[in-house]
Amino acid sequence: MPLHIDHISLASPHIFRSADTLSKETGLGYWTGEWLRDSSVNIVPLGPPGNFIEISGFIDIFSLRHMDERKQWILDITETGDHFNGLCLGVDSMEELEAFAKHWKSTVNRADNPDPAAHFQRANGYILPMASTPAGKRTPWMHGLPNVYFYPDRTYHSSGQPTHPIPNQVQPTGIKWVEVGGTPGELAEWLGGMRYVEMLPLKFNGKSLGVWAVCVGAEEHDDIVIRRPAASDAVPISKYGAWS
Amino acid sequence: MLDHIHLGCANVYTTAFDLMNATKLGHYDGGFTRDIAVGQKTMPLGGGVYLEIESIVDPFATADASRRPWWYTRAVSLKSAVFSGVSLRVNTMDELNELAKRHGGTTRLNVRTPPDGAQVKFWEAPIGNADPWQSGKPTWCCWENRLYAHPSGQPVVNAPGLAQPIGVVWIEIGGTKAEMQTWLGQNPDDLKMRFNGKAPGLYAIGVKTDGGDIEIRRPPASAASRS
Repeated sequence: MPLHIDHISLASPHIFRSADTLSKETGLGYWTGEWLRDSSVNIVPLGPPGNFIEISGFIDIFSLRHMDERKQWILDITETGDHFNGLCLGVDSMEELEAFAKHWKSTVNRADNPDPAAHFQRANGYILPMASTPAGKRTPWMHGLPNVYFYPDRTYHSSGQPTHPIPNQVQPTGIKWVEVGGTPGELAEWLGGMRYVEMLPLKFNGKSLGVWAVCVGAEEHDDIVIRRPAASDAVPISKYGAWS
Repeated sequence: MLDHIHLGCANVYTTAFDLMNATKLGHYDGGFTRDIAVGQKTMPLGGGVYLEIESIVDPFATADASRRPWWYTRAVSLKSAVFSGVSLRVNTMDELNELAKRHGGTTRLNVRTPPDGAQVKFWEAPIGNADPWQSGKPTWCCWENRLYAHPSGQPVVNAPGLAQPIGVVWIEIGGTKAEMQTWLGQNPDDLKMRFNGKAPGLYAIGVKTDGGDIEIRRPPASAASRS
């Protein structure tokens, strides 16, 4: 695959309630149990070639006694409900990932970081090897911009794990399009060329940057459109200045 | 008979995972409760008994500290998961109503929404001004005709090296046998209770597994144990 969409993050004030609501709204199942320190994700697989929505939020409010910029951003964007807060692209090799890191004058969050606290961990202890870029204190998500991932082993990819069974469950067949804010030019500038934008099934709505909707195909079912405001609708990206 | 034991904590994910690693007992996601913004991991203990591990998972609904469960405050102050309470099971609503009446309370429906969406419901008693768990006293519950889907009988997340739980073989309680017998209206020996003479509350449980007996020991959350 060339540059592709891997997953979309949906920030939530209450990940269990949000996942329950989304499953009842769409018929899509989800699985649970993956966490990283004070946060957890409930995963909604979207079908081939391996996409998913991660519903993410705090599950340890004690940790909020010590705030930092990222935690405050999550709280600010979820205070009024669910918001799409991250578009996560994928590449198929470490070389491609390093090329994006170089383009952003950054480094790679390595998949082989030996610190288990640096990785999402599943309920059975499994850690999915995952590398990403750009690295740094502030995620590009806060600017409404995507980051990029590479999985050395996709056989346990989050999109392929079994979901909790729900009544009248819908079988997803993959992302058809993602509606994002801004313009193709703005995204091309971030990614390093229009050719990258053209690889992605995106619709641009000209609103503030970030994800605004996801359309998913489904077996024997109409396309499913999941629409939530972008994080930049709750907290303007201008708050954070230029990405660095 | 014993139905479930509550373990309150600050982070339900790390608490359940660490407990699984320490005991080799599996667990699964129990979902969230309706009235207070709490998430649950459920750990079957065998013999129709389970451990419910809970923490707050909604920072907004509980921004007002007075809305946080009492056991949460206790777990945070002790920097430890705490045993918050014991729930015993009766078979009929008549029995539950009688127990509620005897203790000057009422009954209440407890509702939890697991990830598959089908709500888990049981009735509990006695409900009154004070939560008996806060003073280290057991409560009672009734599943009516829903025992077939009891949380102790649901599949756990498959993890390497898990043991098969066979049942709770003892529970260590504070206070005295006489005090407990007065509260229960039955002999505590029938419930495999051991008394350590300390302040009221649950201190430890012993669980028989196919890999041997294990002990889970945590501080009691009950208010009387603070001194």
